[in-house]
Amino acid sequence: MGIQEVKGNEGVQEYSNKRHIVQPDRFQESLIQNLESHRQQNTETAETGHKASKTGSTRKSDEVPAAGMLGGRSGVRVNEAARSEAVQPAEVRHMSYEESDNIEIAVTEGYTLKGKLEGTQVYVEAKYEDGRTEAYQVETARVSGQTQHMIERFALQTTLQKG
Amino acid sequence: MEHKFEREKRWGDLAGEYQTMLYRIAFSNLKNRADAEDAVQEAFLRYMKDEKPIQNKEHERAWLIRTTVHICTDILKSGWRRKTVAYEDALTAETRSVYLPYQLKDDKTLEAVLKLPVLYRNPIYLFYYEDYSIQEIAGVLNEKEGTIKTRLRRGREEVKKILTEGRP
Repeated sequence: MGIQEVKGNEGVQEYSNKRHIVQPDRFQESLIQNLESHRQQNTETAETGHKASKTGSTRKSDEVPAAGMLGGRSGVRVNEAARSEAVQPAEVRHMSYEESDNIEIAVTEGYTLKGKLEGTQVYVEAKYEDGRTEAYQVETARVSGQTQHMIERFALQTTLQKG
Repeated sequence: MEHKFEREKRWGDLAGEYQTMLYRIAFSNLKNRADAEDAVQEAFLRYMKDEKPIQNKEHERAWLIRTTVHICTDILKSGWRRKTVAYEDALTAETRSVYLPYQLKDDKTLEAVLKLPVLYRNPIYLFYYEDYSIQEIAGVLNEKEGTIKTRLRRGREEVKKILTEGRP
């Protein structure tokens, strides 16, 4: 392929080869505007997050992931509904039905619960229809007899059954 | 690779280990004690005759469950079975002959599960009553995990319908 010679300079745009000079006052103005918009965005995000944690059963967490939770990295949703003061996440042991002291098979609700009494605590393993398996340690002494909490209620039942 | 006679030597242990579970799975499909027992025996016989190597315990268990399910499907498909067996009336009484290793609080749900079409029945039964994970069920039934999840969800809806409206 040969080199094509360009004759003349018609149609070729002329560049000034000069730096585009920004007026200092305009630059400052735009910087302030950007900073303000950024600050506003941050405030809005914080407010939305606050509202969600008040109303929703799940939350976005920045905490270190604990055992038995779905994850704790920023942006990963964790199951907040199953947690309470007496219920703490634990490591999943994949306990069998034979090893369990109490079993709840809730086909129509889409989950199974297995419980084992261990001293003053009850180890509860929950398996859900979507494939999740979560485990909890429940301090039954801290659970009210009138509780409506699924895991707490099951832990109490396990204590009564075993005791 | 395991030799044939070594497998035969393990016959007693094998039967003791899997017999009850396989019987329950066969019963959940056939809803008849005698047929379920026949299906389990047939599965063990096929296992003995099978020359393919079994890699480990998990593989062995999955193989036996899959074969039992296939035998049940064949029995259900057979013309003789369709023409001669009317199992629905006997279902309630027969359900009590499923000896689960734990006490069930709700027999009615299990009855409803046993009335489900086979497509939903096996995943639901294995997931809830035999405590298998979705991954294990997918392996046993040779399906994708997503398919099993869908069948579990749809099967659950069907169970609700049977319990509330009394129809499958």
